[in-house]
Amino acid sequence: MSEKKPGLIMCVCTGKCPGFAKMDIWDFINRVRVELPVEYGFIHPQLCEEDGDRFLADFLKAHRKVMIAACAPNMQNKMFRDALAAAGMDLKTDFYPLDIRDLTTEEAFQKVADALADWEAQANG
Amino acid sequence: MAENTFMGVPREKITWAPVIDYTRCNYCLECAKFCPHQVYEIREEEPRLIVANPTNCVVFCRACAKTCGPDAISFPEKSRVLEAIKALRQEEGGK
Ligand code: SF4
Ligand code: SF4
Ligand code: SF4
Repeated sequence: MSEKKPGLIMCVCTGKCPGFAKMDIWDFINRVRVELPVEYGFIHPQLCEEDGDRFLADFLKAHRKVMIAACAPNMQNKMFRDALAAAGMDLKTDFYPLDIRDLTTEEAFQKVADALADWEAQANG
Repeated sequence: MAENTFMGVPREKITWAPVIDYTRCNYCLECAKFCPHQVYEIREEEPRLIVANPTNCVVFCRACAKTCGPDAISFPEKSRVLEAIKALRQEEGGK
């Protein structure tokens, strides 16, 4: 185990989008925060909007590794790269973007569980 | 989704959707590949890409524009859209 568990932010595209229609987002986030090795898990409505940028800038000041469960990783890398850099964090080791769109609650939960295990393994070389 | 509203206003009344500048677009289709909301439609004839379902677009999302190399995608001005949402909500009975 690395000394600090990551935080998990689920981003739901305002919560109104069909990409999350198959999943119960509340069941998902409750299972993640209670059952998985994260420091905490929570839902943000729209991370790539202006207030999302402001939130992320504040959040990243804590220098906690973060997994963002949301849309396509390549897009997340583009969208959040600058915020991570501004906080002095490393896009490769401190950030894990995960696409959880179009999944059921169970599929999304498993995907996060697997990704956390994978990330932990990477961190331990 | 149970009801299609955003900030208390029916989604179809909110004019937030991408606008494609066809003088710049090179039909790489990155935007359509990114967006999971069937906003774009890829066609056989010209223009090969259209904004087919504008009201599927997530209000205030601009994510697909960030995929667009030639910067061919724009959106309405956010402050104007926000004003319109507030006005519509008043009309709807101040919900
Ligand atoms: S970060 Fe991704 S999931 Fe979140 S609002 Fe933006 S496009 Fe949607
Ligand atoms: S990403 Fe830009 S250039 Fe590519 S198809 Fe979409 S609008 Fe056209
Ligand atoms: S702005 Fe977001 S929801 Fe709208 S078309 Fe682009 S990616 Fe899809």
